[in-house]
Amino acid sequence: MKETIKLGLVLLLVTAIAGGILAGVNGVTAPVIAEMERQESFGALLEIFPEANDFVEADPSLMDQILSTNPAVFEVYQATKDGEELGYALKTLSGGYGGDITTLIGINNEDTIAGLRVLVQTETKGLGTRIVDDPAFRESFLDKNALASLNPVKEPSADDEVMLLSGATVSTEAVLKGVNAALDAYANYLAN
Amino acid sequence: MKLSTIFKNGIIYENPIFVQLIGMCSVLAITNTVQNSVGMSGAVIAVLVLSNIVISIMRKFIPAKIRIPIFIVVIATFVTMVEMFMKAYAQPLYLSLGIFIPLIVVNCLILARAESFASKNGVFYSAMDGLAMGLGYSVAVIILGSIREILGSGSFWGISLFGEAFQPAAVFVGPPGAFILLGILIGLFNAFIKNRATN
Repeated sequence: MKETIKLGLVLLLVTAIAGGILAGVNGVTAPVIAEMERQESFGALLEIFPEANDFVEADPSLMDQILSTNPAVFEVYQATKDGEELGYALKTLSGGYGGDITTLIGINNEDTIAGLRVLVQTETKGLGTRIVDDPAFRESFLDKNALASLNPVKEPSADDEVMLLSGATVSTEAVLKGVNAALDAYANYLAN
Repeated sequence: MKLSTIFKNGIIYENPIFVQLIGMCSVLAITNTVQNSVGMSGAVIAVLVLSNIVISIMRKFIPAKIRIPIFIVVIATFVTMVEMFMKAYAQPLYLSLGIFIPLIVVNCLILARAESFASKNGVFYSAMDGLAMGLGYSVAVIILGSIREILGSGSFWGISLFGEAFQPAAVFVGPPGAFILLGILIGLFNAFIKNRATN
């Protein structure tokens, strides 16, 4: 009995020391890892706002309001350059043909679209994947009015029209669903 | 005890991969490229040397009945540290080695050295034994990784060697190619050792 307790105590001591050391190492590496993950998610944000040097996450109370009316919008960043506001970037989640699609949409201060990036998608290769691979698709969103919702057409020309990829209607509409939710959230909560 | 014997044993006569055949799971999985092989070698050497040192220091205080759990705790601590540092400072490597970094905990090579060497010998020799065994592991995985990457992907360290015309033999990227090559290498290595012994 006495020996069992002694063995248990030795093991407890060893694991406690190991735990303490690991907590120390974690204290050093965790901030580095978090910072790197932040940088990584900044990658796409920087493509849309290349001149920005900081992205501030929207404060939780505003986020709660946005989520209550536009649940597809799950992250909002304000892009700034030396404190000067450049615009907003909204991350949305919408159901596509092969799974959920995560879209990042940037809107600049003149209420026009600054850029679109599809971050995560599992669409059909060669068809639905053109929402990422076809530059004409994302370019058709550029400079469009951000205060009204967008419609997909074969040959976009008007201010509320973007490209409909033939053979990838479901994927196109899924991206648009996310984008329109973001535009709606922007018009209601973020635009001046 | 002579240092040269420790190193000769670790790298040649008791080579963990080619002679002792221990810790093979990660060997088959991560030797698909030279970069992965070198990264894994570094992690294994670090864990082997550090855990051998600590276990050697603690060897007089560890009760015999619970030595294995204590060895595992020490090894797991160092593996977790390596994992954390790798994730923070060498993320591409961390992503490509994936699950095989935490699995170093159960790599029997490390537990075997703790049990058969570090728990019986002084700190300096234990550290050297860890280094020698780690180098033996490295030699084996780097040879295997080089051949697999050259034949299977037509490249070395990610740099394409033969241009577009070369059709790589994809079988060497997968586990079957790893098994076949490992078998051939073990045969060659043992023939080499036998040859040396008879001469």
